[in-house]
Amino acid sequence: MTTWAKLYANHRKLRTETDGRFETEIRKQLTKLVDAGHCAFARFSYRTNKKHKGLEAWEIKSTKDCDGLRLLNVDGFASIRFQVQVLFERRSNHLRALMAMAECVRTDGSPCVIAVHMPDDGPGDQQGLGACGHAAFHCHIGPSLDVKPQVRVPLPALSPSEVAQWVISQVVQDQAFEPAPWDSVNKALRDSQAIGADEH
Amino acid sequence: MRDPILSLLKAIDGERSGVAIVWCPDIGTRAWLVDRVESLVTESARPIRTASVEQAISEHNRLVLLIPTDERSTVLDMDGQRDRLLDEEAPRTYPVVLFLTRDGDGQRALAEEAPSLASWVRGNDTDPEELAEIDVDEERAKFTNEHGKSPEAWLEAWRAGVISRTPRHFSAAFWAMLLEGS
Repeated sequence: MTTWAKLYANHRKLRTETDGRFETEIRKQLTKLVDAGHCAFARFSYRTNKKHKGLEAWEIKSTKDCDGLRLLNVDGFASIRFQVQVLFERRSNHLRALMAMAECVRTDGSPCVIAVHMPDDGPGDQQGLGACGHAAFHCHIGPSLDVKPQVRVPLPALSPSEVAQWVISQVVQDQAFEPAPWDSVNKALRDSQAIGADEH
Repeated sequence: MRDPILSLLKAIDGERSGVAIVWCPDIGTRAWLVDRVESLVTESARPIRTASVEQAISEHNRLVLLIPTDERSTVLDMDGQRDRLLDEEAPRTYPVVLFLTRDGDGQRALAEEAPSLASWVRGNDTDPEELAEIDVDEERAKFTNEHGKSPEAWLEAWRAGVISRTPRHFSAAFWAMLLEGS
């Protein structure tokens, strides 16, 4: 199997391996943002449709019904609107669709969008020409989503909360918001090497 | 505002009352709702799960998630414990959150056999799953009004790549997917 085929297989696997705990993990991210003074109040809430039992549509709400979360006091940015949306089948633990996005305006007034997409697999998630040019789980980065070329950076199979962490880490350049500090990565590498040596 | 998470936050607000009730549509959903309530509190609440009313009362410095094995017995036990739960000398820091099944034995017992508990928890109960449920007809009309197409027609155009890829449209796609086929 090619790297691209393996990547797509991992994206499909992610859909069935995501469990309902993502809401707790995303809520922790929002609490961290509130505690650090990057937003005033945020909740990760959901809606359901009684005709599709168990299907939940999750999104970040700030005050009232405002769509997304305004991030404040972030170096280099005049404004950031952060949103995470998840369509999740609770009864079968199935991730149908995922989006995480930061719509930004830099302090020089220029726009920038970071948008992670995993399309709905109900009608099929094989879009574009193939798993390389249009990976099922990808990220757009640019001044807007429709500027050519519409670059789609393939992403590994990150869980919804890991995606939220990743997007936050791209705009809030602060050690407290780095989900994988090098110290912890190096420790994990040393630990895995020690286990490997023991096994030999 | 009909928001399930806000309603849960209000119900478990420790300043309000010693007891909150979370209504669950069925036992399977109850497990999710217990997890959800647990995820809404800070670590200092040290949430604990129990089926015992006695333990629920004694853990007055923790958020207690009371998950009955017999809903009627639990409601009747709680009904007789108001003074202990509201002990002014040892006020609760966090409430006891009682999970009961909608239209179940616990709800019947609360209405017919536990007047003290019923009056005490009034206003501190919530049915988050009911609050989360959208009014399908209203939402479909709203979507059609805002986007000029039914959710299905809009999604067909979206999936065909005819609709521009803007942040607003990506959000609309999630709204349409929730409404699709209903």
